[in-house]
Amino acid sequence: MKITTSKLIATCIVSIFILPFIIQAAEPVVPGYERFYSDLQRPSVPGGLLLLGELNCISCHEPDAEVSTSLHIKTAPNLDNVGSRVRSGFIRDFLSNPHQVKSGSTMPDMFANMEANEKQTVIDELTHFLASTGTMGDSPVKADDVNKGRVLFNQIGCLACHDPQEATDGKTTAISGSIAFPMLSHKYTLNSLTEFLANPHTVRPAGRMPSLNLKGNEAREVASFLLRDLKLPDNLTFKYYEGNWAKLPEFAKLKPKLEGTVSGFDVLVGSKREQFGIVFTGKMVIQKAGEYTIWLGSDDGSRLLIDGKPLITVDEIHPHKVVSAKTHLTQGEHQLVVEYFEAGGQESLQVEIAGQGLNKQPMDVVLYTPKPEKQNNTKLAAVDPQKAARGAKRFTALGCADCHQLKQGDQILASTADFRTLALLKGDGCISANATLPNYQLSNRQQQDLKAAIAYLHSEPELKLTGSEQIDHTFVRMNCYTCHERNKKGGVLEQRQAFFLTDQKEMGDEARIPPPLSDTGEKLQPSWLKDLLANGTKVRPYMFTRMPRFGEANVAHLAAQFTEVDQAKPVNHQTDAFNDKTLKLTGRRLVGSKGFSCIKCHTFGNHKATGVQSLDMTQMTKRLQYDWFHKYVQDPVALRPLTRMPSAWPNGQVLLPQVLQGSIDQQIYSVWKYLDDGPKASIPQGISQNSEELYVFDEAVIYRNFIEGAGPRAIGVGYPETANLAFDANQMNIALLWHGSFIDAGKHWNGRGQGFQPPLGDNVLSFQQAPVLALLESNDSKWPAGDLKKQGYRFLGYRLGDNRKPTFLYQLNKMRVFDFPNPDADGGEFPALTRTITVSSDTEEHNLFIRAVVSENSLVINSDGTVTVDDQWILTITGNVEKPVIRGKELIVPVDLSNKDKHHVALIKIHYQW
Amino acid sequence: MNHKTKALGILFIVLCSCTVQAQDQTLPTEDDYYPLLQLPIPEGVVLESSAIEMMPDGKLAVASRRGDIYLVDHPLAKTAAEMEFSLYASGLHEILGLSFHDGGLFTTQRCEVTKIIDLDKNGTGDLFQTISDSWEISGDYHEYAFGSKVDHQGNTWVVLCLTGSFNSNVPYRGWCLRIGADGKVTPTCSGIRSPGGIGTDHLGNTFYTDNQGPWNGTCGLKWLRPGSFQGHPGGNRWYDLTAAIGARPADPTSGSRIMTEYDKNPILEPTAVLFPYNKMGKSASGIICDTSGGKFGPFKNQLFVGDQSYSTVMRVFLEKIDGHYQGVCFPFREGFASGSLSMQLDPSGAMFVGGTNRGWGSRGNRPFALERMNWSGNIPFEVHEMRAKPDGFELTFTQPVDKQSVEDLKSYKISTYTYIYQSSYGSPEVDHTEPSIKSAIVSSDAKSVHLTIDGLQRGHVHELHMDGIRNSANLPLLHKQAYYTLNFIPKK
Repeated sequence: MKITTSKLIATCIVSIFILPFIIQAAEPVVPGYERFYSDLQRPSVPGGLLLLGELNCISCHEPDAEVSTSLHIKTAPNLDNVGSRVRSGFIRDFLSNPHQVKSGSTMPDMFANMEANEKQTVIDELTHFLASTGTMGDSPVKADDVNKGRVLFNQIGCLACHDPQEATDGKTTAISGSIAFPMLSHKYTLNSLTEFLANPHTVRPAGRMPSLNLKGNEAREVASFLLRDLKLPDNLTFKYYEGNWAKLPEFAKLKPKLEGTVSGFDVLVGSKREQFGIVFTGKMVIQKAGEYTIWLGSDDGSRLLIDGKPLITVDEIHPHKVVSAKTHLTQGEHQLVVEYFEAGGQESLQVEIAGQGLNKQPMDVVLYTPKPEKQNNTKLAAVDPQKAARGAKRFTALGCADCHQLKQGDQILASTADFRTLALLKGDGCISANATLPNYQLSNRQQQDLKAAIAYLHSEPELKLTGSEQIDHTFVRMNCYTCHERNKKGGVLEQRQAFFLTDQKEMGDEARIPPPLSDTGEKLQPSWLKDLLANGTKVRPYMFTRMPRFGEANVAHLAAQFTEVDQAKPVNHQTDAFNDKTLKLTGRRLVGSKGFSCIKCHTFGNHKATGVQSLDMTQMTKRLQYDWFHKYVQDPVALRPLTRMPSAWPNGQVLLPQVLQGSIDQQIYSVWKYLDDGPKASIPQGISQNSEELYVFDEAVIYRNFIEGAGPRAIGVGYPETANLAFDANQMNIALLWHGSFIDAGKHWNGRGQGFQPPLGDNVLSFQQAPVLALLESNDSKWPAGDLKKQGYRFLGYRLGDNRKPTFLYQLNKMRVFDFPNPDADGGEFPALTRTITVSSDTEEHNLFIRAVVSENSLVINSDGTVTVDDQWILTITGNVEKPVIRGKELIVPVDLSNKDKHHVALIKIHYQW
Repeated sequence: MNHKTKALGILFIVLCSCTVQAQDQTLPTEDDYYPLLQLPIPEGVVLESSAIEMMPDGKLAVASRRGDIYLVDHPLAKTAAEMEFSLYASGLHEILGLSFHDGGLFTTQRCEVTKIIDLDKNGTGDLFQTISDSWEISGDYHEYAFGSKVDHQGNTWVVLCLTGSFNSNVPYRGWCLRIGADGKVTPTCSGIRSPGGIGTDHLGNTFYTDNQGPWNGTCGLKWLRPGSFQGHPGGNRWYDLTAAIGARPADPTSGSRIMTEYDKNPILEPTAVLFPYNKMGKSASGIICDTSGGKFGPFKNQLFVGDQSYSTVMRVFLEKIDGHYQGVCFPFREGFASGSLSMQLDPSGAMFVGGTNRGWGSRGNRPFALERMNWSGNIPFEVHEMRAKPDGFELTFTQPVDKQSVEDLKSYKISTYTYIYQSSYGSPEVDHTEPSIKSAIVSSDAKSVHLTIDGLQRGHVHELHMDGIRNSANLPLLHKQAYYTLNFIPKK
């Protein structure tokens, strides 16, 4: 009687345990099928074709060549080293009853009509075999990680395919087409689920589970949330002390306030968060002797001892600091002691190990853990090699190897099972109402659709799909439609709307709902499209959902298909009325606060927008095609009905008629040309939060500071003529010339002033950082570079003249140099600049040269003596110089220091027209 | 006890409390002795006053971290309304030193020492002559250069902060260089970490302040003894570039004490005065010596040192023991409007204090300020000097004292401690001791006291509280605490 009673109770417990899973449909769930085919008039050939691929039918039932190109199979999970990822108890339970353990599983029951005894033996052997492929160790889940993981799981896009895991208002929502989880803590350890979430395609190459590009600790956090019910037995004893220390005290001499056991190195076992210390003691069980690396990280101090010997010390007060050490460990047990203290502020303690086949992971993985009182009876105590060997044979004989890759050594196990080819299928096997093996628990409609599809393939083996249909099929297969709408199909389901979030609600739904993809091929640059399909992306700072990575093998073909299908008619825009520098300068003004104020809503590289934070302008031309951009900026709502983006040319009206002759084409093109410099473009006016623009009126303005491109000893000069320069006092040469605005001192005049500030204006011309004058032994001697103080150069300062314009003073050996740059008056928006260099010497010098420029690409000496540099700007050098010489990319000019009244003077003018 | 005595007792208590209360209300404050006056920085001008100099024509030159130099006309006027500001130069790079010499304004900016000359005498600088750019900068904001007044040999002493205040990435970060008016460079000391100011005493010795951090347990005042090592080994790699101060010393041992390391190699100059962290301040800055000959009050030839974080000016008395300067610091004046940084004393006794709190917060909450502090003519009751003796300390006072209170050992409390000399950041106070004061004997003129102390600690700060001391008018000290850095105990 007693025995019967306890059996009865056990059965009840099991039923309660399994109950939540069998409430839902037992049939396999394919999201695209549920959404687009389940409500159709039966039978549906396309629905059946989808199932043929997603259920992996053709892995066993080999199709003819034509058919195989028409069907896309969803490759089954890769079972290499599955024993290091999945708990043996789960393997056994899942093989025994896949549809109950994981609702909606596409894995068939392979043993449904075996005798109970035989079935048990086969599953036992397979479990031993699969478990023999790896070992795994538990580590505890941290509450902090669970909380962070909860936020990620609920925000970054997991809920586009999965259901919320926690009830809101006491109700759990089950949405049709959602992929359900088995009980994850029964299946995974924290480490194995973390690894899976970080690299899902290693195990599931089909990409139906995409990679969310989790960074840093995110995978562990999401895994922690999903495994938040994982309870591990205590694996450490602890002694907790209180006191105020600046370094580790001698704990042995102190009296603990509290003692006990704990799971993992939890520094919050005591009551205080400041001024306490803990000594953790545990037993390491080392399976394989050899060298191990151990990491100890803490805030504040800590020390790690193995068998009484200190190995790592991270003592004293500091932010979280990690130190590692290597040590040789023999097989067997070792005593581990970790001492820790916290003075104030943040507190943390992390102990990790790697080596001898263990990847870096929390130390808990090797800590002795007492057996839980109630053993899960399906878990293997140890792998039986003989059973495992028999299991391997079963794996190939039963057809497991037809769908699942499993490597033993370098060898992929090959299936020895023999199934009918697709062409010979009659619909009387696994898809019949009285399903034999394998049993998919197909619903009626699924059976009908599969039969129809097979019949269709018998008559029409080659499917002829248009490009548009191919894109559609991929979208259905990969469940793109759960987030994106394309050509009025798909888009976020009503029941999932609430899961798509933003922190910029004032942007409306555009901020939280992933974009429609009807015009993707017309909109995006092919290179960008390719990249985002391969890698996923996160260009919308306001949208919490991430565009995941589905795997190149699964979606790369979409790039070409989009470009082909979504082609728009080419448009002829007027683009050639102005030169590039005028266009860029104008585009920058239009983007900035004195133009259309795009900066109010769009970020610019690292610069935040002043209002909402919308897409980064420096990425625009990399992402978008010009024709689409041209169309979009004129009438955004026409292309994106949800957008809040206003038009700068409402109803074709020109708001700034004086700019670029009032031409809409030219104005749009100028913005494009400006943005086309990407992150290198000068920042638009008005975007800098701490702007301290230095304005130039009737006198020159000097700014000595760290200037990008001119070194730490830069001397910036802004001239009233709207030309500017930066002189590098280390190199005694002009390093930068530019037009327009001078400089923004905000970087240096706010906070401590770290960093180099680039010019604020336009049309920046940058020169190599090297001196303009040099004494060369011969025509082909190397031009001096580096530390000039050791090479006879000395910077002497500057003298301010009319309008406080500086003449730079420096010295080369005994020669004195006066270097006076002066922009040409009345030069318009792009004035040229004349630089007058006077060299004075007491002695005759024959080897003095000027290097006027080092070109990037080309140097051409024109017939009138001027020099065209890089096809972009013109340089003229006159005065006491001889004919210029082109030396590779350098323009070298010998200086004539002729005798004038015993004193040797040369006067050279360099004219820069850029 | 009968009823009568009980009543008397109550009456006595009431009377006493009345007296104390009355005294509290009427106790003088720092304002009574050293009032402050805000200089009227014109609206729109951001004058993060980082260096100050008195020009020969009586104008006050004030430099800013933004690189401007302003001239203040009538800086000694009674009221701010009479003062006028004009721009003398601009566009320079983080100026931290101004000194008028030989017809020009020697300006220490981040990148160089520059002599600025007003050639056309129109009130603005025209020639910006680079005297020396012999140190390097890498583009790190922490690579500051503080320049002294030009000394009698024509030298500007420049102390160069480490890169990021931790490393020495380019030549001479972490050094003191002497720059002659002709540009001649003499490397003078290594071992500098993160200076906050530089100044000279009445004898011509140059001191600088260094701030809490690696190898500096707390902020301190250090003597730039030529050839010495100031404690932070970060810049010692540049001994390779110069033979001026001999060979590179061995790096000190982290976790030691300053005097322990000094005993190993006396090239290390022990910090003359330690400013205990969180007690005296958190960020020692400018230094100025009272050479006004009494016009600034009774503290002739003593040093005044700013604290940027606490918005204060502290007072320092130094003495030379065994060839090294050491001494004591006292609180002097608090309540400056911004973070005290630059200081200047006019021969008339006016002390100018410039402040900024950009990047480093201060108690004074204005982003920048320029203030003048004058002596009111009233003598505060303060410890005037505190000297180490073989058996204790001798303290002199600015006013005759009440003998009874000063000889009462309960009027004092003394403790000692030092700091770990280490490569990691700062240090807690360590090695605490509590010496006992055996006797306090007041001199016959009632202006000094000799404390005989059992348990003086070499290398320790001696923190002395004198809450019970009264002067002959029964007033307590204006500042009751003193911190003496006893590196050396005098033998006689």
